[in-house]
Amino acid sequence: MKVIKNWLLSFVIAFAVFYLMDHAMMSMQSLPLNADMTPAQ
Amino acid sequence: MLHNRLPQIVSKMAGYPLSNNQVVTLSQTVLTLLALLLMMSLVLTPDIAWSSSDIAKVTETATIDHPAAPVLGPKDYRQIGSISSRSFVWVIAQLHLFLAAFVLAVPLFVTVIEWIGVKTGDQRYDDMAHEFMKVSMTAYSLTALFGGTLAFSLFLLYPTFMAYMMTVFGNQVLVYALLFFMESGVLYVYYYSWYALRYGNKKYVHLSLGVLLNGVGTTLLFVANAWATFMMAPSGVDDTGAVTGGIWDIMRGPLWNPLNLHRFVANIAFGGAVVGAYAGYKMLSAKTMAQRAHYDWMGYTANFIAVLAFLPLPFAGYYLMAEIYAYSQQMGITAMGGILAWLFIVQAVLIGTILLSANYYLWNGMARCEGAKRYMGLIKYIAVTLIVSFLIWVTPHTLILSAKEIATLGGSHHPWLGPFGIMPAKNIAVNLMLIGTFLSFQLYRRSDKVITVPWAGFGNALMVAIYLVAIANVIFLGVYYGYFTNTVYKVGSSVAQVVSTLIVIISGVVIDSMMFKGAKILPVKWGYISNRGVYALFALPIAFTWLMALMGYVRSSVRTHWHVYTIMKDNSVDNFIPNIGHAGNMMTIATISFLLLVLFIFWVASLGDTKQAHPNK
Repeated sequence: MKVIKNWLLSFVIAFAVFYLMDHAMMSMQSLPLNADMTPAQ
Repeated sequence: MLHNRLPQIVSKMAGYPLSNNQVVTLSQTVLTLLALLLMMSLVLTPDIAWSSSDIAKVTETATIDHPAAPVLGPKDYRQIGSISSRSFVWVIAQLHLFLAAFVLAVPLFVTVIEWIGVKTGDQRYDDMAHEFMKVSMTAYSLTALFGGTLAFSLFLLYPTFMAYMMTVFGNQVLVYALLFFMESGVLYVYYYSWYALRYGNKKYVHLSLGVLLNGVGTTLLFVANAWATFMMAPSGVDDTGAVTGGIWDIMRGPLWNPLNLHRFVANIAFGGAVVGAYAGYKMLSAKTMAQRAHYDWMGYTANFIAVLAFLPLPFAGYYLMAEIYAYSQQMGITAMGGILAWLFIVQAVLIGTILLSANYYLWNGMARCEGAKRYMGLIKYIAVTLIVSFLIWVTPHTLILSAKEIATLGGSHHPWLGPFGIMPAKNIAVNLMLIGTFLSFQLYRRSDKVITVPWAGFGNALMVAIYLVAIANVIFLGVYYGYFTNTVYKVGSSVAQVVSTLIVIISGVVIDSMMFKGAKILPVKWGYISNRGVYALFALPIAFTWLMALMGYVRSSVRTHWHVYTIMKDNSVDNFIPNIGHAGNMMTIATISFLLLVLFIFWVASLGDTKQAHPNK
């Protein structure tokens, strides 16, 4: 159970970090994204 | 002696007692700051020292005091017999750049290794740093020789062009000469005082000399870079080439800092690769197991430096190319979308060679430690990723085809390989290759450790998750924004891809350093790497050298028929971009010549240790 929790938590953290990073990097270049990662412009 | 009384003197000045360590730290800090100040003052030469009061406002037309760039004719060019002046200067300049890159890079990582020796108290680091410096000393003389020959060649064969460059850069060239005097002086004192300033407070004096040496060397690099970038993207002059700004305006063009960054980092990678070849040669010719182990360790350190510096290079190159595009779309398209585009396929071949060699060396090196067996199963996945990425990277887009071939193909691009020929696919490939290379490093670093922290399970799971999500993110960004959105989003997504790779590298270093606390260290059998793994250390500098020559050809050729882009036309007999076949021959001549010089440098470095026995004893 602990092993499964570790893996789930790890993937949630990794996914969150990269999702937020993608939005941040694109916004910094004035290229905003929608929540589903499609271009907002 | 002063160094014994120094703590007392400084304490008296401070007004309260200071410990020896505090005095040492203080003197180290002061010397380092002085070195940095000297470097900055030379680079940021204030306008007031250079601009005359006559340059009161920008003028669009040239005046007698600030002449326009001359229009060159046949009489402004010279030739030695039937030897092409461009080919002659090409080879000499390239050899000077190879050697200069090497001698500027070695002190950079030598100072760091020396400092590591001080911090760990392990004298092996100090000995290795000293041996690396020994190799670069011979190279330094050769660098100066080729630099002098280059200067003579340029003034002899292109006198009017050089006269204009002297008009533009003025006294800055004397600053360059002064920097060379300083570099020589500091270099000789740094090397020959190694054993005289080896322990205690004296060691910090020696380290500070190393910092000063690197400050001067880096300034030399930045000053010379200004000449090259002025020719590509002139600044501080008007449309006629008349000087309108100070020396700082002339030096600080749009391409100066991108080239400074790229060359600074690339020099370190190149220098590491060359000393790695030295270590490989010494290891294969070692007479004892102890010698073999010593040079095996040296080769690993050199390879580590080369690959660590190499990882950010594609990003520095991308930054340089982005600035070229921003300065002149025409120049950017010439480089990557037009006549020179094929060279970036050749570049892909060479970088693929470099990454495959570096990884192959690491995989073979895992034989040194028993603990590596648990990771060997992952190597095939890294190898497949590297090879598939390499194949995608070398896939061209537009081929030179006859009408019949176009009809057979159904167009100018291959129907399903064509999409691999454009940048989104290349960006995916290069980022995956860098992630794979870092994974090889991480596995190697873990192979001699048994992790004992209680949260190891979570740490490993997190690391795996970061790798898998990063790889998926890189592929998603490249495919979706590269092929299914507009160009602006396509280009912008490459930044997020780079950051994904950097997140993997930084998190890998941080998580591992936390997980290694209290780890059980397994024995490493230095010297037990296979010989074929060591051959990879020879492949690295060869590929690096040829790659530098290739990129030099690109940098020069983007100027097309200009000596100074849009300012001074090239009206020589060579005012065209040489074809790729000819350029390939020239680059190969330069590369082979340099490798022969490197063999001479290695031989001289070993000669100093050879002692002939007395005939009567």
